[in-house]
Amino acid sequence: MNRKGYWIGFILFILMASILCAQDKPSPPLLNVMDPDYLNRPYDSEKATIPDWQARWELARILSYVKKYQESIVEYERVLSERPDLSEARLEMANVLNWMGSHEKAIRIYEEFPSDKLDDRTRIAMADIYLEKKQYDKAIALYQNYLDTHPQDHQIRAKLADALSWTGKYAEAIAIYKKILTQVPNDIQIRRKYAFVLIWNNQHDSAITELRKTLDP
Amino acid sequence: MTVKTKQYLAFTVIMVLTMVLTTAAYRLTGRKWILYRNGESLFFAEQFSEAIPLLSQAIQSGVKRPEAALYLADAFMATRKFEDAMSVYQALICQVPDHEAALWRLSGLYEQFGQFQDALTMADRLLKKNPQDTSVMLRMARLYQNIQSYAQAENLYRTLVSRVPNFVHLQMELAETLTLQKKYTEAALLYQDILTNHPQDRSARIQLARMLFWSGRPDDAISEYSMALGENL
Repeated sequence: MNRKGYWIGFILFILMASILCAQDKPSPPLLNVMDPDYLNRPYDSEKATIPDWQARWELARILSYVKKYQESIVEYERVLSERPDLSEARLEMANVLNWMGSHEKAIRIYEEFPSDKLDDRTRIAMADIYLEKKQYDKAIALYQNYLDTHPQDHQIRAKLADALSWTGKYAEAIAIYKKILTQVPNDIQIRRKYAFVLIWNNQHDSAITELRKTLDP
Repeated sequence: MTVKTKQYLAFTVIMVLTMVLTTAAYRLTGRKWILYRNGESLFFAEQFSEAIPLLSQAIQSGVKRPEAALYLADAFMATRKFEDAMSVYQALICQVPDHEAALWRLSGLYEQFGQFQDALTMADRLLKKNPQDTSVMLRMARLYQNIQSYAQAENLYRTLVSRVPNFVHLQMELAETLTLQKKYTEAALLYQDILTNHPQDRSARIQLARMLFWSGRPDDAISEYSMALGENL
């Protein structure tokens, strides 16, 4: 090999060596394959740290289920003093007030909420309170609204008929009772109420016929 | 100039030329490796956003090292680009089906996105490879819980509790699985056991209270809630 060949070989060797060395440079160690902390971590950090208000809210609910209403209200008040933004808890407290007979307090809370924020059960509870307070127009509006989406609920339809009859709207009430009786012809109580409204509307003969149907033959 | 000086000069020129040529040749032929090394350095310096384009280009240029894809996916994770990370992990698993880190992280991502069955598939592959790995077992138990396969979850949790008996959260998770299966008596015993050893564990007491309520013991539940809240009703 002549001198020129030697030099070319030398340079090629240097070039290849540097390229190969660069490729084979050892990498830094891999990140841990498994998460070593995973085993130490509770799954749901929210579950691991249940705040007082949350536990108290659950307690308030259970107290209401076992009819310890007074104690339940105390807990709801404590929850709401810590978290006044919890409108759901406030509504639940209103329900408890309603169940324990504090209708005035309950309705005051219900009325704080826009109608579309209230569920059906709450709206019916409100209507029932209005009925009791003889605020029939408010009750009627709520019952009608509810029946738009629950046309098969005869119990509520009967309450609507009652409310209409108590406001002197006998014809409307009679029409509703008739409608209910086509669906539940054997409901004696509905038929008797129907008969009374017929009497108030001076339809005595029809009333007699209807009342006879409710008595044993 | 003496002959010796001329020789030194020639040698120096040759060395300098060699250096220049080596660098130039490396830049020409090893561009992908330069991208990779730079990306890797940025990744380890936790400059993830800067590392991503370099590692992507390196992979596109033909760097086939699994680490390159792993770093890229991890960088996507670090920058919260989870879907990009997912596709890179998936590609990496196609390339190296038993890549443990990719399987682990992809199962975590699937879990995060609610794809529990896919997460289970990945974790199961990992568990077959490392049957004693308690962290994989735990993930699988949680995944089974999520898809409401409570019996499988319970089996895994029982194994975990026997292997790592001092981890309260594992006992709590087992108790929760038992509760979900309406095995209330066993769950109650487990909670009581936890509370005997850790009477101040509020979460355990509240979970016990919930379980008692669901099992139809509201009065006992009330008493546990009160204790958890530090009160006596």
